[in-house]
Amino acid sequence: MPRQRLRERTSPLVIVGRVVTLLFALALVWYGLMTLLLAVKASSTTVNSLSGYRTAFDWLSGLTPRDVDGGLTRAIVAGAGLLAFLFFGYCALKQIPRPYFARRDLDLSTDDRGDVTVEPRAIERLAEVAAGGHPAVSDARGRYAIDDLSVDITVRRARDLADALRESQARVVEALSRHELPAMPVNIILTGYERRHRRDIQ
Amino acid sequence: MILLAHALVRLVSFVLLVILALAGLALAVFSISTGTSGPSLGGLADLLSLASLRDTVGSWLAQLEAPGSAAAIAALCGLGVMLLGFVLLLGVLVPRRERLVTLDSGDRGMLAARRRPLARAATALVEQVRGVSEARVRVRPRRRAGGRLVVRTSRARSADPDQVKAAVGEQLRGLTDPFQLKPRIAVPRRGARVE
Repeated sequence: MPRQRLRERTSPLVIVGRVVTLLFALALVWYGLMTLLLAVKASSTTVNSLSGYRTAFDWLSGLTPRDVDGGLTRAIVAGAGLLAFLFFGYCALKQIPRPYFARRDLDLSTDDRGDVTVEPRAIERLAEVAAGGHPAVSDARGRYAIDDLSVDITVRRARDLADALRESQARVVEALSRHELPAMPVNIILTGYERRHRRDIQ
Repeated sequence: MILLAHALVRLVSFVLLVILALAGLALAVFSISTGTSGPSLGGLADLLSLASLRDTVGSWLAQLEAPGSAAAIAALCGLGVMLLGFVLLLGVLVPRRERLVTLDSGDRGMLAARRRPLARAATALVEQVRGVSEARVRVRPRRRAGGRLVVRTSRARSADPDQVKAAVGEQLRGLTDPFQLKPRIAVPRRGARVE
């Protein structure tokens, strides 16, 4: 099919990965700067007071098996570890991209006699004609996907822009209904403003 | 560059989450028994050779802290790490798609506008105001809805700046109210003689 479109389903849990990466990136920048300061022989006391690198290292170096061998400590560590495994593991699974082809034929009905399908371009053209019928719209371009129908419009009037967008959406929705096509979300996006003269009298 | 940063963020996010999950699992499993043998935290430290890692890092830090000439390789490593951090920050903070100014969003669909055509429409409206000789408008969308409309106009010498400002605000109301844009209008004095 020409003009195929690839989309992906994303989970809201993607934000967890982004937050973890943000914290990691901030840590990289901060401790990279500290390394740079130490490398150019800035005072290690000052660098430690800024970042606590030596304090953290000394504390971790001083840990012995006896410090974590208590029953309660191990229970807390095990519980936290298990929770971390479940939570971060699930979030990691949700990071995997799930792409799909978004521009497909619209199946209207299937029976013994055959299938009734509508090609994406037909739906796009329908939306373009409907939106372009508005007097303020000079150009319209439809983009059909199985989730929604987006119409990019160019307007010729700056005044009443919000009403032009609303009315264009209503026209497309009405056209879909008139042609007995299933209702779907219609996104109207202003992508152009056609200015004929420097000062339009509108 | 931005595409690369986004791809890197995706990869790093996944890898970091996998590492965190595996670390949690390892901690949970190695908390079963005590001591330094078997599935214990001491045993995990032995398995990961944390003692030798401590010595290596300790001596490296001591070298770095010791007085003397600058450590070129450490400085380069620090710079490299900072660069990687900045690329990741770029990938996390810069939005993937162009941010739109949303007018309405619901089950019926979304009504939105790109920044530039909206700014051009606003410019056309502002230039119709009496006393304005030139206008520049910028639209800065917010992350969720609405945004800011920054208007900078040149006025004719004879025009009163407060009146021009009020008239521009009134003229833009048809755009600012529905799109939840907050106008910021500046009318600097310029030497334009004609409107």
